[in-house]
Amino acid sequence: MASVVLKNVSKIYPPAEWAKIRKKDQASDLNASPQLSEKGFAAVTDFSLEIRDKEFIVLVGPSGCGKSTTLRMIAGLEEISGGELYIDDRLVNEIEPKDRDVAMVFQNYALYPHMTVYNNIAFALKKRIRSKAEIDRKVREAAEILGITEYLDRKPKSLSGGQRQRVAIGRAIVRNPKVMLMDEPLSNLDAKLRNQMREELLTLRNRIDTTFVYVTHDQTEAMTLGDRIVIMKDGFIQQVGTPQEVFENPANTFVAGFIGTPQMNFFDASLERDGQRYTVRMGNFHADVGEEAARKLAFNNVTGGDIILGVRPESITETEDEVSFSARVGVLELMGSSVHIHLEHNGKKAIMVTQVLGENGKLKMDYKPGSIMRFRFAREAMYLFDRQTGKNLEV
Amino acid sequence: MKMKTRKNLKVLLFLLPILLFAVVFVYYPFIRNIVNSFSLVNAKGEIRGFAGLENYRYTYGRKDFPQALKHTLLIAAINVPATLIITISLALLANKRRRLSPLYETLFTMPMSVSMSAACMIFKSMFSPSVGIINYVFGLKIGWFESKETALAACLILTIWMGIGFDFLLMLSALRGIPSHIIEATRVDGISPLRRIFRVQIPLISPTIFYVFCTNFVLAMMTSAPMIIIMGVSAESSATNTLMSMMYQSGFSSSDYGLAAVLSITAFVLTLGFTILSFVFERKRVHYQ
Repeated sequence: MASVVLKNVSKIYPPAEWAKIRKKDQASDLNASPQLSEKGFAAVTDFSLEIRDKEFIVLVGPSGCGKSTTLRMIAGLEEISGGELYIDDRLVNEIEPKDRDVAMVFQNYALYPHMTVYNNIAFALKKRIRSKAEIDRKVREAAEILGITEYLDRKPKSLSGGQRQRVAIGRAIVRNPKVMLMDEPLSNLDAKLRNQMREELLTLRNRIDTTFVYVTHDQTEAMTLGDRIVIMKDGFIQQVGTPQEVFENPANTFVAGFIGTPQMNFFDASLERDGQRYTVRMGNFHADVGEEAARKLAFNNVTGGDIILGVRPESITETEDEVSFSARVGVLELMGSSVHIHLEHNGKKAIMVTQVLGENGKLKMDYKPGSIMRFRFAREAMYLFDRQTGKNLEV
Repeated sequence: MKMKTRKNLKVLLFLLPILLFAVVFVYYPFIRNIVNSFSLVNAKGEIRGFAGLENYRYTYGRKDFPQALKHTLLIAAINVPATLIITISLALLANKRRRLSPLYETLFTMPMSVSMSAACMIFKSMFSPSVGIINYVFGLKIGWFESKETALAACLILTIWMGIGFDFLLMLSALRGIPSHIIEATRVDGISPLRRIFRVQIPLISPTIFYVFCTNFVLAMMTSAPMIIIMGVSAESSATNTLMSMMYQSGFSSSDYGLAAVLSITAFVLTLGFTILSFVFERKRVHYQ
């Protein structure tokens, strides 16, 4: 139970150290990255965030965006190159991990393979608590919460991935830490188990009252678990907000493309201003932006010009109307009740999602791959981004 | 059926070189040794008749046998734990990768590249009472090879030093093989360094420790070179004899093949017995991933 405050925190790996890390992790192609300079590799830059007591914060972003590094700096496993980190109003930059009162759940569980589940959970307690009965009570309580009581005498080797992750979580919650850090805890599980564990994490969260910092690359996990989401890219925070905020008002094209599946479509379009009226044009299609959007655009002194038009796949509809854009229908992916239709417009690919489950329980699909059809979208569904900077013009 | 025979033949063909080698240099001498120990063998190594347990009675009745046995067991009892403690400590010290790590690692593994006989000669001159560097540096006045105890100690120091290099390398790679997140978990969980070493790191490298234990034990039981090379083969040198150096003397200097055979079989049985015992221990204490 504590707040965590990060003030302009940054992490720079000096060139020598970076060379070693890069060798290990050749899969990520970071050699040409803008984060690399003569000073070294800037894994995290200027990270400022106030995490409130008992808040569930999710750091999300593609691999190499600095989310795990940030988490490891909070844990104390990674030195902080610049800025200040406070846990419960105490500056902890130079404090050893063990004295920060944080617990961490690792992606690959990090269980002690030679100990039984019981000892894995009890190990960290043995130094803090003298009474054996007290330790026993705590271990059994945690095991009860996580449903692993029957495995207490087993070694991690004989457990499944999901059970191992439960043990790892048990080891963390039994210490009753101020801050619970989780580094992609579900990534090593298969899809079905991941969904189940995600739900269990939500329940768990209500049972243990503590601050959570959770790292994932999976936007679904971020959206479902987080009170607030921090979206990161190339070591920079792109946006912080509640799941609804970042979905409805993405700060830039990166966030817009990252949150939501399938991802938002981006078209080249132009914006015209006529007094207080703004019109978006894309081929034959044109639409005035809504009143509120126009007010925001005017407030931001947007004059018009080339923009990127963002539209979520669910917002595209088929139409007979003249005011529309035409696109070639490509591959159809039937997902069940809905279908993902791949479109091609002016050489650009787009995707649209439409419900095909009729009231009679039968699927109704009359899209022919290869055919040219007309499409449109509602003015409220349009997101306008600056073509140069990618910034949302309405924010 | 034909295919299978052909396949088996092929397998045999590939195995032939190593099988020949094993038969000629391992199994034949081994069996011949057993036969020798129950036979009357002349100085040319020819079997001259069945001796029953006469060779054993003779060997075990000699007054230098208990001494040699005692020395062998003593060397094993000191060498094995000493090597384990030294190599694990060195590996723990060198575990973290530092800028100068390659230098330490090379220095610690150096003894590997020295041959036993060369090392014996070097140590012989280092232990020399008059010009030796050991007495000089430590300000001692020990005539290392004059008394039995100091001579044994000198031989022990030499064999331990010889063994360190390779075993250090094994321990180091085992320690570095422990996944880093497990060590990080102990850091976050506030496990003290000592507890981490004894409760996490050592149990996790226990398969390597067990391997080093077994190979070192076998090697220690077979210690003979320092005794032979440093002490020389003489009547006085029998004061520091081990089973193996005694065997060398009887077999190669005195051509007493019956005695030599009994000694080597005794050493073999002892080593086998201890190794089996340690495998029982392994089941309880060694954790394989």
